Amino acid sequence: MKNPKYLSVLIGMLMLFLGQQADAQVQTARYTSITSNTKAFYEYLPQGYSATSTSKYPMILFLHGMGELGDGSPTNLPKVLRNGPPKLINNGTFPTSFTVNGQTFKFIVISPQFVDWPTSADIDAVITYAINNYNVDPTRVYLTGLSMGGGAVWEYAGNEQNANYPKRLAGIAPICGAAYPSVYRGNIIANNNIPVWAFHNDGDPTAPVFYTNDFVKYINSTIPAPNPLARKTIFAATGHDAWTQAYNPGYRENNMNVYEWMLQYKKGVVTTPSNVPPVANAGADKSITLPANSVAMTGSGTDADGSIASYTWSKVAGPTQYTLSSTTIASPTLSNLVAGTYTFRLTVKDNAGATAADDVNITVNSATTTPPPTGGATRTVKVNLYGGSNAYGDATWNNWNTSGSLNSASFKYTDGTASTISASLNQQSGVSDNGTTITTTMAPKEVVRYASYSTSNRTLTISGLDNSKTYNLEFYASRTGATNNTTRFTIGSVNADVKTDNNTATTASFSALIPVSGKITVSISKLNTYNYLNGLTLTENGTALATTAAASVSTESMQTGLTVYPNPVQDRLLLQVNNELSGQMKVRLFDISGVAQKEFTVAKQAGSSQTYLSIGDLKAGTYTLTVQLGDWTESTKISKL
Amino acid sequence: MKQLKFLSLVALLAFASCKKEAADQLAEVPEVTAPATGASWASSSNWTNDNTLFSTTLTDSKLSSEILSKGLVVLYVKNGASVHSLPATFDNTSWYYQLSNGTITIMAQAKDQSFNKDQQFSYLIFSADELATLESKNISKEAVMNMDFAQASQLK
Repeated sequence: MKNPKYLSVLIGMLMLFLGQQADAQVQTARYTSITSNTKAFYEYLPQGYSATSTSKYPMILFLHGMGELGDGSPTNLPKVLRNGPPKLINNGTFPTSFTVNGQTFKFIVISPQFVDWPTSADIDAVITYAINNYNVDPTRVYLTGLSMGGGAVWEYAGNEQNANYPKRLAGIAPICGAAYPSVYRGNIIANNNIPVWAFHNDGDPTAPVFYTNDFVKYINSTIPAPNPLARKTIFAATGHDAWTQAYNPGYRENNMNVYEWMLQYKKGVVTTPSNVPPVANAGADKSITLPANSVAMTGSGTDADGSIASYTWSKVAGPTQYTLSSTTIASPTLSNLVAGTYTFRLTVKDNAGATAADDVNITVNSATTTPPPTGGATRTVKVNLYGGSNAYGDATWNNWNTSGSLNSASFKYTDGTASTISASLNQQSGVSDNGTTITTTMAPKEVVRYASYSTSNRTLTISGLDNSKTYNLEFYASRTGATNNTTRFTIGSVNADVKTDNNTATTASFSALIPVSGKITVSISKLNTYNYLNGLTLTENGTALATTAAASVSTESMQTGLTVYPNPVQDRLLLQVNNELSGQMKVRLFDISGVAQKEFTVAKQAGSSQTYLSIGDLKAGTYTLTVQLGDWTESTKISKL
Repeated sequence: MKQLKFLSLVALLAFASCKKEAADQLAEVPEVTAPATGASWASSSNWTNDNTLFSTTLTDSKLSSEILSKGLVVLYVKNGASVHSLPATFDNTSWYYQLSNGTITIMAQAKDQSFNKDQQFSYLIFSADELATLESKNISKEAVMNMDFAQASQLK
């Protein structure tokens, strides 16, 4: 009975041992003499490696330092495990795979022990042995070493006696290499375009830092310059040990550790070090109707592996007249527009110099009277702002004494019937009197006479509106005198500027506005010292949005990040929405006459979402895509091919 | 007993050897990035409907915010031998879908209540990096959106 128990324990221990071996990184001592100067080596094979497989693997050949020299005996060989990749493997901290440019690699790592300082012939023999005995990809042989080993790396890669040696390497990483820098060797490395990443401590007391500095300088000053240029990392440290940090998989520059850096390169293929290009977003297409003549551009740029270094706006197509407040910021204001379709391009450049561009179309419609929509009557509310006892005695107009209250009573329509509509201003500095002699064409002189003015940017809220209807708004702003003031009216992302000095004819107009919770919010801002509001006309279009009317301008634009891809589109459309709203989201497509041609309902969750729609059955043409969720609405134009 | 011990040890070693071989075979083709998802077809038993709009939701933690902001997911529906890429309209049903964090909601606007829920779905997730790689091979995101299942699967 004792023996079976003993056997069970033995079996258990063996199974435990084998189980551990299956998971751990296995580095095997091979007591094979490759040259008289190397009697043994450590072999690390990637998980899943099969000698009979046709799969090929990149190889790292690691050259140890002088302190690890040995005769390759079982007693001395473990010295090789003190530093570098063999140490990481032995500790189980060497990554089992690396993903570079979307491709996943696993390394074979060969770490020989040398009896004496290795010659280039020794190194070449090990490379040949490895290629002949393992599934090594001969186009991906990477040579690295530290101190003595680093010096041997420089000597092999820049070998002046055998021109074939440098040609075997896909990249080298010499670390505090103990080799006196040579212009000639530097030229050889450069002429073979061997990718180099060298490391050193700036206060290295053993191998002076100029070894690395000069080697890299000689390589990069070769004519023609190598591709890629040699790079170096000089750590601000005083010891000889630069290898612990250099070999640490967690140490990265440009998002790559030394192993990932190696894998960018393949022998015979000159590869530009990867840089993920930036992504430009010029914002959603916009449409305005004159006299609204300015829009706020909403450009942005992102860079997955760095940062955006610059923004550049340029006009690609469209009328010659326009003004950009800046061509070098992400979101400038575009003003002074005339009727037509503009295309502007936003080009972004990342910190590595890569660029990306995106175009946005700005459609400026001619000032036309919006035809009364079918399905309901058009009604109008006219409002005169004033500040004292001189109300306008016209029954079709409402008088709002803003000096008395910043919240109006409910207005009446021009036909005298009551409405639920009212207005409020959040601020007013005072009311100006333009006098009785003013002559105007935009509105009765009694309306233009008094101007509510402010030295602050402020908000006008029009309430009591019907969410199912669209509205047009026209604002009057005028002040006698030449004081150089311009008032900007903004609804959603659409601006309309009025130069108010002695203004008698220019109004700010918006059309096809969709109320949000029964309200339209208007920002009234000053471009100079004052902003003014003398009166307004609100036209109620009696048409329900869901049936026939399309909004050309969205209201209450939130930070939605609504994007549509692709545009133009043939069939499949990807809508990307990023906001914190949740609930039933309606996506509608209106044709150019305002008729809803398609409608989708989606249960949106808070945060980013992607919605994939098919519109292949629509006729070719321009459509307005409107997204609506609760109080939020946003529109963009799409071109169906 | 010695013979028994020896035979057991041989058996163990043989077993261990077989196990390692099997593991090697399983881990073959090591250079290929593992498919992100969607290798198999899944059906849904949690259909709900609002009149003739039917919907079902699948969950997948791989549908991360990163995928939602920069990636792409192409969805396929299989009914019998027919595989359709979505979104699309066929058999009087308009199919579309939405991705949110960790979920994919499939919607089918059917002509009536007789909508056939016995459908299977598969999808492929493309990260921003994968799309960039494809872009470098002149395969646009739009092209991927319009590929059939066999074509898109070959990209993974």
